[in-house]
Amino acid sequence: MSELVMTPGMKARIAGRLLLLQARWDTARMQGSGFAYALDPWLAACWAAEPEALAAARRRHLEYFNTHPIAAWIVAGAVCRQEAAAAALSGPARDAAIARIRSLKTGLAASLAGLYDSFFWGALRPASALAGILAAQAAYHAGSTRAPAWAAATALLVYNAPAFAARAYGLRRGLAEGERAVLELTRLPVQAWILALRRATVAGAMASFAVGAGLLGGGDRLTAALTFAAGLILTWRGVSPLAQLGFAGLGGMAAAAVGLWP
Amino acid sequence: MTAAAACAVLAVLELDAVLVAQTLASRPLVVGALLGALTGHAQAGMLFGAVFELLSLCDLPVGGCLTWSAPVAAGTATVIASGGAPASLCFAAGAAAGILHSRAEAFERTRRASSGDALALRAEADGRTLGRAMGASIALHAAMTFAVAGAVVAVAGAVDRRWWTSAPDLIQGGAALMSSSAPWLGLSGVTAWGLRRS
Repeated sequence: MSELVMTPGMKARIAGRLLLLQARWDTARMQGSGFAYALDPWLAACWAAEPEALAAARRRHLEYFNTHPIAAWIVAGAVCRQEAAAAALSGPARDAAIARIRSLKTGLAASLAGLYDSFFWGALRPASALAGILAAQAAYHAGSTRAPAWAAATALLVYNAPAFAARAYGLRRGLAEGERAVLELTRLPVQAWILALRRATVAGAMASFAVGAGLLGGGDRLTAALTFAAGLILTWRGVSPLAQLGFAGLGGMAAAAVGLWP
Repeated sequence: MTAAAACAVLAVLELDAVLVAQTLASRPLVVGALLGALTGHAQAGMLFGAVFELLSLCDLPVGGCLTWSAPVAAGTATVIASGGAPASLCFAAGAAAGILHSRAEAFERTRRASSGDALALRAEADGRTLGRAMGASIALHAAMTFAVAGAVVAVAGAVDRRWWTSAPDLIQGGAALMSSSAPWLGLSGVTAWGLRRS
């Protein structure tokens, strides 16, 4: 049997469904249901002539699956390629190909999760937020009444331009080259990008503080500086932002009790 | 726009945080800006959005991490502000809504897990079962967000009208210092987190 080739329509269908990867996220299977849902049209096409093999294919993708939502696109591409290859085989060769799908999926998901989490959640997301906040502050200083719109648009653009490019690239390369596409990824200087984005975030946070505190009067500016310094120390010591807010609330209550505040 | 309609918009936007797409259209900055514009309180929306964004920026949404929902916090605070409540009450109520939402979401995730095996059995035979389950999950989650935000907006509105102005200085002082220090704590948190990791 010849190997099935994915049409652009099928790619678009899978891409649309991958956007719902976490729509039924749960504590046992995590993204398993969403991954099976995304692949289902392709599985139905690959195993159309064999209902039992189709049920088995659905079963293996309904199992536990967890990775970064954007990394899932390259994993989905590689798995779709492998499913088509397995469906074209028969006998022990098919069994071996199916066993390989399971290890390929879990291996890729685990190895890519750390990389994608560090880049998208740990570097790009904070950088894009700071870009949005700085854009709003710049618009405000320029006298624009659309500072909130600038903030939202900048933050969304800075994050989504690379994110959607990575999604499209991942699905396309995963389909074309399977796990070799992941080898290409490891050659990219991702750690250097992460470092640069984190440094930009720190610079952005300090600039935002300077701009924000610059709008205040003498006494309030000193209070802001002291709060900023206290926050630095507490975060450095591992105190969460919510706990810091709790301390601020208790401090305010104590100050109000002795007549120092508000 | 009414408070109920604003909560409905918040419920739709919040779906992006985990369930749909993760384009970060659900990030507090965007939610605050949009709800602020829709309710006619753009500055308040911007402020709450930026503050809750900064406070939540170091919480990475990996694995099953559920500290609190910053989008719900920012959205709820903005909706309450549109009713004319003081900023300190809006901020405190927003933070409470964010924490409450994450507890409800944790319950929802466990409930989904308990019905996962039965769903998997049905889905093996019919792929469309999964699509229906996805739709039901999305609808239920949006309804849950709407209920949490709506309940907190209603309670905060009642507190503002009947009690807040006569509340003890102790309560008002605590809420005021918490909200006024939040932007600086958020910025310092991001700075410290970035310095440690770079």
